[in-house]
Amino acid sequence: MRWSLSLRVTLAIAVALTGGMRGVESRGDDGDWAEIHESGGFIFRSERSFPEWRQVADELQTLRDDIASELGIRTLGGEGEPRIQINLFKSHRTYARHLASRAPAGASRPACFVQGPDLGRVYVVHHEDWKTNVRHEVTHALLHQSLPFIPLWLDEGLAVYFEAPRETRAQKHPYLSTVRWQVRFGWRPNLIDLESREDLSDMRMADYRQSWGWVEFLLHHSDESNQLLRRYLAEIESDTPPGPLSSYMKDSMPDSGSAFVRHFKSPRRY
Amino acid sequence: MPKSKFLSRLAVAAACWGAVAMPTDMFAADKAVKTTAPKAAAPKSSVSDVALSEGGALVGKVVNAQGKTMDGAVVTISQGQKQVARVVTDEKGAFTVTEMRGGVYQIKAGDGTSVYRVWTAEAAPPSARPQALVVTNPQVVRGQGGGGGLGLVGAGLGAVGAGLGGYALSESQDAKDEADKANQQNALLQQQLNQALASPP
Repeated sequence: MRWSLSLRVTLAIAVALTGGMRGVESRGDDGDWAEIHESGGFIFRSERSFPEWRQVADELQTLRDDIASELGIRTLGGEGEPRIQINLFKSHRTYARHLASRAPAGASRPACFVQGPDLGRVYVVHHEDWKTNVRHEVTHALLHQSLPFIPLWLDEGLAVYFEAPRETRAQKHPYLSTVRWQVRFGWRPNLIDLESREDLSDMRMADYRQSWGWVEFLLHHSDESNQLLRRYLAEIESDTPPGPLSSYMKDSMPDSGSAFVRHFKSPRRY
Repeated sequence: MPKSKFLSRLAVAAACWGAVAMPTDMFAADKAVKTTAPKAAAPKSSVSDVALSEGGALVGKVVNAQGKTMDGAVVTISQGQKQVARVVTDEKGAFTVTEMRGGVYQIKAGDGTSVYRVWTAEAAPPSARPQALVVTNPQVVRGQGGGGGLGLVGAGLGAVGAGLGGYALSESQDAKDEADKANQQNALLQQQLNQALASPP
């Protein structure tokens, strides 16, 4: 059969266009995941090969246990309980493309967390420091699973604290030497000012550092400071708003600012 | 070269390009995804218990996602599709609704909704809270900024919250499905609770 020229051209164009359109359609709303795994309440979706997923799952379960034991709150992840979805992208380009239809402004960040109505979602680019980013964002996710609300500065302070691997968390955190030098050169913390940050865009590098400093101070300065933080979080967990921490600790730790300075000036005891 | 011959060759070239440009799996089954994720059951709906005061009043508080109390917030209390009360919070973000009866209620303020099994003081289980809590604007967004050695915090972060409104919209169907499921479960819980309350001690 001899096809007419116009028919051949039409057919060729149709074939070419179909191939191109298929390339667009293959990236559906769920991304283009090479691997999907689930373990212990964590769902991993990765755009590239992810052979170390079991190790990461174990580390995150350890993180969840650490948060529960150090903060005294009940973390979730059991059967039938809300899960956390962790999305790993092979490049910032695919990360940005995935977020473009969901969270356009988040596309410029290397990682972010979104608390959805169904589950918490973490988005991370699978590059250098990705494990730190995963720990940071998963800490947010775990806190928001357990607590009805949490002040922004405390949310970030805890995420920065727990983003460090367990073995370096208390003694070798990257912020430790900076804060110690700041204190030595006369800088003083201001929790009331920190508590005024209500939007993520209000947080500056110094605020993240001070937030971590307060968490590290409360957890490790004394039994009294440790119990104070645990009581504060317990009240939040029980749907009883305790108010700003600066007011909450006015009676039991009226000199918290001075104690903060002494804590970071003194040699490490642990 | 005659025009018809040129167009013929162009057609062939276009067909070849389309074949090369096509993903190799176009006619294959859906790409196999390596997965170990089993089909998990949907999470249980979040319903908390709260006890009425001795006088039969429901006491509650409205806060934002930071835990800051919201004064002047309009609170509506519904049972199924029926609104049973509407109050406004005071300067401490607190509200009180008198003459409440036991049952399952949705308590809404702003963008936040909480579902509670409300118990009389005598029947309340030990885990029942003394007050209800509603968190307005519960959508939470956090972005890597201070930790991880990245050190990138800019005004653009402010847009994350606004931009993610689009995300919330795109997930609204999922949220609707979840809400429908929760409503069905709440209706069942309410029936069970009413039966329990009606039973003699």
